[in-house]
Formats: sequence, C-alpha cells, structure tokens
Amino acid sequence: MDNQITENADTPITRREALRKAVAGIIFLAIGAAGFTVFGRTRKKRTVWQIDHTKCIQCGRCATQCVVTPSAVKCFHAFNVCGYCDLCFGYFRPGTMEFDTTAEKELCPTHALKRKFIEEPYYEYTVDKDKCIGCSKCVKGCQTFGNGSFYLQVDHEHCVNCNECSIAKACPSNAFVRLPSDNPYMLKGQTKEVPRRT
Amino acid sequence: MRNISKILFLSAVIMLGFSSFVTAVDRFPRPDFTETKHQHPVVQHVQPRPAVLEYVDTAVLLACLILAVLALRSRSRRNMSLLALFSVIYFGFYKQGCVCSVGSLQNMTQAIFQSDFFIPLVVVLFFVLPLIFALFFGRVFCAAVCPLGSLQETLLIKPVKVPVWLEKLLRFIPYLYLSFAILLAATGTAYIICQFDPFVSLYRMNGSFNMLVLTGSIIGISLFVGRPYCRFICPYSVLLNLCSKFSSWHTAITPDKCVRCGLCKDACPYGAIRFPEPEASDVENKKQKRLLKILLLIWPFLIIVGAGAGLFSAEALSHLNKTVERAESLSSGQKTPWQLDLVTAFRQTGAADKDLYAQATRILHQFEIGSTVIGGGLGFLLGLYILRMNIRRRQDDYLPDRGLCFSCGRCHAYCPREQLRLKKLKEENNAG
Repeated sequence: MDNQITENADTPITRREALRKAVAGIIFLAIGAAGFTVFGRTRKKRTVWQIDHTKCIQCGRCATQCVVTPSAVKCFHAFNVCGYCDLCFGYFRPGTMEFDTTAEKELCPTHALKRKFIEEPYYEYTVDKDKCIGCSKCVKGCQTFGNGSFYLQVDHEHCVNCNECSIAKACPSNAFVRLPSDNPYMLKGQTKEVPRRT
Repeated sequence: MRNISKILFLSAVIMLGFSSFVTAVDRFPRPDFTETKHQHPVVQHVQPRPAVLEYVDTAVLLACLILAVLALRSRSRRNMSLLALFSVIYFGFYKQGCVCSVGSLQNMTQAIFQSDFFIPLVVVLFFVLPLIFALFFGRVFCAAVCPLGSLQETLLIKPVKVPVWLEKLLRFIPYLYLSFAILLAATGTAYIICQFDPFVSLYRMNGSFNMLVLTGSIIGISLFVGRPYCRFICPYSVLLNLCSKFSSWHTAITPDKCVRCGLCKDACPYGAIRFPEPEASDVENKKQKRLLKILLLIWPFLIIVGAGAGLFSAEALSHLNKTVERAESLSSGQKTPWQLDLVTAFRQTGAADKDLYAQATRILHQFEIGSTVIGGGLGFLLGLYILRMNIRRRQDDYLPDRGLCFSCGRCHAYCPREQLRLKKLKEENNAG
C-alpha cells in the first residue's frame, strides 16, 4: 500500500509542481508590475476627506448622506471674516423683523447657533458642534447675504474616513477632496488659504 | 532691475489675490471693537488619526499574516480561531473597516488607470501583502486576518452543504462583481465594493436601513452557510484564489500521507476538498473529447457575445459617472432637484459647457472600451470555467482545492494521520 502511494506521487507531480512555480513567478512579477506602476503615485501620508468650501453650493446633502449620525460635517465659523451683524442671515429666518433670540426666529433646525451681544451694534455667533448636523442652512444664508463666514468642514473628531466618502458620492459639486492627514482642514479667513484657492 | 520688477510683479499678484479674496467675501466691514477690545474666540480643530497609526496597522496586518502562517504550519485550529477573533476586534471593531484589503483593490485600480490619482503607501501595502502571502502559503489572509472573513468564520455554527450545481453557479458572481468594481474604479465613478460592504455597518454600529437589512441577512445566512460573502460575493477573492492556486507551501489535509480513508470528506464547510478521481475510461475519454471540441467551438462565440453585451451596456453604465450625469442634466429639459443642483454647482465653477461635454464624451469612450474588454474577458472566463468543469484530472488523494481553500484548518483534525501525530491514536490500531 505504502509503495503504491510513493509511486503515484512520483513523476507527474514534479512536472505539475514546476509548472506551478513558474506561474507563481509570473503572478509575482505581475503584482510587482502593478506596484511599480503606482509607485510614482504613492504618497507616504494618509489622506483624509475635506470639503473645498469654494465649490460647495449648500445643497444640504451633507446632513443626510454621512455614514455617521449626526453627520461628521459641521458648520465652521471664521470669526475674522464675520461682520458681527445685528441681522445675521445665517441666524434668523428670512422675514424676521425683531432681532432677538426667541426660538421661532432661528434658522438653525437644531438650535446649534448661539448669539451673544458684544458691543453696539455687534453680535457674536458661535456654533455648538455637538448640536450641528451640517445642514448648511446658516451657511447658505450667510453666503448669499453676508460675508460668508459660515462654511462647512469635515470635523475629524467624528469622521471615520471611509475609503469612499458616501457624501462625496452624493455631492453635486465634487467639493469633497482628499487632503494629507497632517493638514486636514481648509479653513477660511487664513492666509494659507489663498494659494489653495486655485 | 530684474529684482525690482520681480518684487513689483509679486506684490501685484498678492494684491490681486487679496483683493479678489476680500471683494468676494466682504459685504459688511469687519468690526475692530474699539470699545470692548473683544478678541475673536479661538477654536481648536480636532486632528484626524495620526499617520503613524496607519503604519502600525500595516505592521499588525503583517504580524497577523505571519501568525496565521505559523498557526497553519503548526496545524493549530485553536490558534487560528483566536487570531480570527483578534482580527474581528482589531481590524473590525477598532479600525471600523477602512481601509481594508478588499476595498484597496479599487484604490489600486484607480491609481493604475488615472495618473493624477494619488494613493497612500499604506493602501498599496494592504493590497499587496495578502496577495503575496497567498502566493506562497495559500489564503491565510482569508483564514484569520480579513475582518470580513474572520467574522463569518467565527459566526458559522451549523454548516449546511450547498448543492454542487448551485455552488458552481454562484461562484461566478465574484468575477462579475470584480469586473464592475474595476470598471467603475478605473473611470473614477464609484467604489461599489465599499458602498455595498455588508459588514462595515456592523463594525460601525451604524448604517442606512437598506444596508442594515443586507448586513442582517448576510449574517443570518453565514450562521448556516460557510462564508457566503467570501465564496459568492467577495471580488478580492478572485485575486486571492488565483494566487493561492499556485502556492507552493499550501496546507495539506494530512500531516504526512493520505491513507484515502475519506474521513475528511465532510470536514470542509466550504466545499473545498477534492475527492480522488480514477483515470477516465476509453468511452469516457471519447465523450470528453467530443465535448471539448464543442466547447472550443463555442468559446469564441462566448467572447464575442460578452464583448457585444459590454459595448451595448457601456452607455447605461456611464450614467453612473457624475461628470456624465452633469453633462446630461445640462441638456435635459425637465430637471429633477438633483439635476438642478448639478447644474448650479457646474455654473459656480464657471467652466464652459463645451469643456464639460468634451469631458463627458471622453468618459463615455472610456466606458465603451472598458466594458467591451471586460465583457469579452468575462466571456473568455465563462468558457474557461465550463471547460474546467468538464475536464477530469486523475487524482489519488483527498486534497484541498488550493484556490478555494480558505486555510482555516478545520479538516486537519478529521485526518486519522493527524490523530496519530498528536498521539491520540495508536499506530497498530490504525494499521489493523
């Protein structure tokens, strides 16, 4: 019985084995070739998702398309761009006549925007990120009638950095870009923003 | 002189930059708070996961692959299961999925086909390492490192055999899936593997209703059918299968020699054990030869039909691409809200219509070429698949099918030679 087994395992197997090694070598080379092709396009740094706010059209999909609930996209506020207006089009619903902080006058659906008196006639607006859902209502208001100091950014406290961002997939303006992870924000009102505008 | 002109030029550029920046934004003057000397609040932005940790992940991947090989070499099913559990916890629940080797396949494809697409080194390593290990040792990545595979491996409680004909039919799905994934990634359209990853919503404990239903059903099935995702869906498995098929140090069922007892034949829940086949008789041989001739005749036909079907579906497929969709929505009369947004966004960029149309036409051409090639390739593969099903090769021993075997090591314990090795059986008992 034992003899038979060794006999069978003799010549044909070695030929098959040699063929197997040859094909394995070819596949190895193919993997190497694929690696070599992308080698010039390889970056040492990991990339993260971010919103290019110059492309954003405030469609509101960031609030609903994110895999994280509430969305990892938050409203950021560039204070040095803000006019500190009494009538803030990001804060008040259109048609508001008296500018006070009663809830029915707020544009923000989640009460995430805070309004604080600084000095006559200036008011400061701050975003409570825990409440913000990234719906971009305030961004649209400020962008259309004000200085545009509200803008959307991916908050990396919440973003899980999917391989393909599901908001990027649904974004009509291709505003989602990949940035190197050591420079993960496109902040407004900062000098380093200027060269990035192109 | 040159210096002065340079400075002038630079200052002009800077002024221009600033002026456009300021005029585009400032409708209201920015206050200087002369009374209260109010300072702008300072906001700290959270930094993403540091890049160093990504390299730690790669090191963990490499370590896990080596450990899996060691567990397989030492024929320890227990160690393999522990490693699988670790992978579920680390790559699954801790890392929450991205980037995984299965998905990295799309990044690689896009990087190969688009020269302006940059790919992090970590992603390349995640793609390449499992394949290289499969090329030498078999699919050890599937066995206990892949977070998707490990989860299904752990979930399998009562394996049910899938009928052979159904299994053979379903096994063709990964090829289709891979083709679509490559086509859509190469054109920069979508990453469908990530979009329809059924386990990521479990690992993140979050997801849309449809995805949760998909997750639930796949998990439900994988309690009774061994690795339904790996066997019948996973597109990366096609590549691993190919590499593993030619692996030199693939695991064997028996530690030394096969005694052809057949005790292992029900051991594999994945249908990856090949049974001994006798030499075909002359009558059978004649029959096979005739069948082969017919198959060889219809093979070119399959390729042509595949290519034709690819070309035919190219236009429909190209509508998945956002640029094509954008061009489409520019010209369409009655616009949906989505199309209106697309047009608004396009108008904001200030680009010319004809550039967009040219771009869309280029992408359409890419789709035409891509889906024709892929359709033809699928036809070729289908022919090969049918051919392989009908060719019988003589085989004496019970052997794992190197391509299909997940290297989980379940079959080891079924082999009486293994029991001998572990000294759980005595030699003379067995010989008698």
